[in-house]
Amino acid sequence: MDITFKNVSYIYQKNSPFEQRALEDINVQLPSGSFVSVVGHTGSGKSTFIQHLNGLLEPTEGVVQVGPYELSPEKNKHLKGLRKNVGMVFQNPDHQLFEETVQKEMMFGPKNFGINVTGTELENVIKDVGLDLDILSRSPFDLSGGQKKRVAIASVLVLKPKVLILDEPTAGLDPLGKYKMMELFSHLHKSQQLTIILVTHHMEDALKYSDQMMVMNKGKVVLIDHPLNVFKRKEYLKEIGLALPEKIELIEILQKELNLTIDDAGQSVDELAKSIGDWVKEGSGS
Amino acid sequence: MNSLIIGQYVPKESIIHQLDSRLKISIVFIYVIILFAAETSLNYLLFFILSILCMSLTQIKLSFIIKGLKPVWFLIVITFVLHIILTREGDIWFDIFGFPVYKEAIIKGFEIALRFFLLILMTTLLTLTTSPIAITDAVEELLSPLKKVNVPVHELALTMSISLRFIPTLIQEVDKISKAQASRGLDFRTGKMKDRVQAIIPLILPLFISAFKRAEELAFAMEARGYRGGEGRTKYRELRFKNADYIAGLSFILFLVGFIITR
Repeated sequence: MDITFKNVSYIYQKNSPFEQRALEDINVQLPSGSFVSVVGHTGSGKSTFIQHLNGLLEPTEGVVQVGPYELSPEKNKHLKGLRKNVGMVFQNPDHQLFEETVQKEMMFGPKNFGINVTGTELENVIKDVGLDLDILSRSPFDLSGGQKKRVAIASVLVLKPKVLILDEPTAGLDPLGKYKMMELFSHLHKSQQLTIILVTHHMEDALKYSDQMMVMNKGKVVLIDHPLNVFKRKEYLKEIGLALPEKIELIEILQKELNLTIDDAGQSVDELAKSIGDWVKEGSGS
Repeated sequence: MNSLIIGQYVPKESIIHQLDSRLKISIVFIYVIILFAAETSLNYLLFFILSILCMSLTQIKLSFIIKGLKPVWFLIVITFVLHIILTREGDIWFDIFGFPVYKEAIIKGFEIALRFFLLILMTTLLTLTTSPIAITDAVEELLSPLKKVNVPVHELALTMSISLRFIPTLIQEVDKISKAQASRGLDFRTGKMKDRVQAIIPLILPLFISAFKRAEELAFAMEARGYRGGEGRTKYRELRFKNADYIAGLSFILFLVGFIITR
């Protein structure tokens, strides 16, 4: 489903002394099937932005279009249909787990939307997120933080959304768990043409997985481009308080200190290591 | 939640904001009590002037206060109407569709409605201009004589400040939980009453669990920083009377004198 924002602004607590403009005149187009990273400093409007995608917030001005669904400042219908297609995984799994067993927890969404889920489908989702099947009969409150997170993600994936919104999905997972989770999203993106919107502070993830990167600052979209192009604006990114991926930082330092001739072209870490090795062997690094 | 401002605090730098919170609480306390002793219209006029004066000194937009008291207007109108319907004595003033309206009823109803309005306005002004921490500090100090008769004043104040402190946190949490569940198709705004009542469970349960967790963590954090109760504890913010407080106190005494004279 294509996503379009047209002149969207959002104001919290309008007409009160606490009035706060969180989004200002957002105009973006995210084509169906893309993997978009949304990055920005805390308070830049990332959360407000993604909450417009499934109608949790409705724009104060402007129009949001997600596939056939339209959100405008007037009263919006069909929110349920929109939410059925746009799955959202929140940062903290404690905010949603409430059922007696993991199985019931996972069936909560399908029950609300009237979706039939077979036993095998349920088991496949559980396996996909890297959990064992015997977890289905356990209470979600007895699980570890990482397991809770996976259950929360599974409870959204079981709805088979067309767009998946992830708000820092790997926060609180161990490094291996993080890696596996990101690989899972990447796999879903490729195998099911799932549109993924990822809010992250991890520039490495943004660089590695996404094909579009959206940089937000003070409620505005300041850059939207392929991650490789975004990270070329090093000075600007630092100015608005964003870090560079370690890989790009390394290339930058080597270029400055040792006149490295290799440029950042989206190569993997292994490829980069190999080419730097070759470059050293050739003796140019002296 | 946005529509009602009772209990909200709006940080500003006005004279009223800077007054000693003990003084403000005492004034509002006495104000509320003697409001019910008001009889003459001159009495009410005095109260009205005092309240309007305080309101204009707070530097908070008038429209914000009026809008925030909107739900209260409803109650005020209802009490007024009830009075007109239920009072069945005195002189009949006029008829509405054959229903006699008594003069006494109108006056009494108006009086009660005005009292109600002034009461809510003044208490709202107190919370609008005084931070919850300042209020609990003041309550603790004002109640401190009760320590002699073994009332756990410090503990009460602490409980009060902790609960006040966590109201916004819990509201935020409710917001997040309801959004997380709405994303999974929970609908608690439309549908049958039975379904809507059932839809509360997925909201309440995570909220309770996280509240208990928070309470436990808070207790740990307090213990880790050596909290041992109120015994021998000093204050970071000491409440002290300033010139403005004396002036405000004196003005209120003048108001009291005026009230007794016009009664």
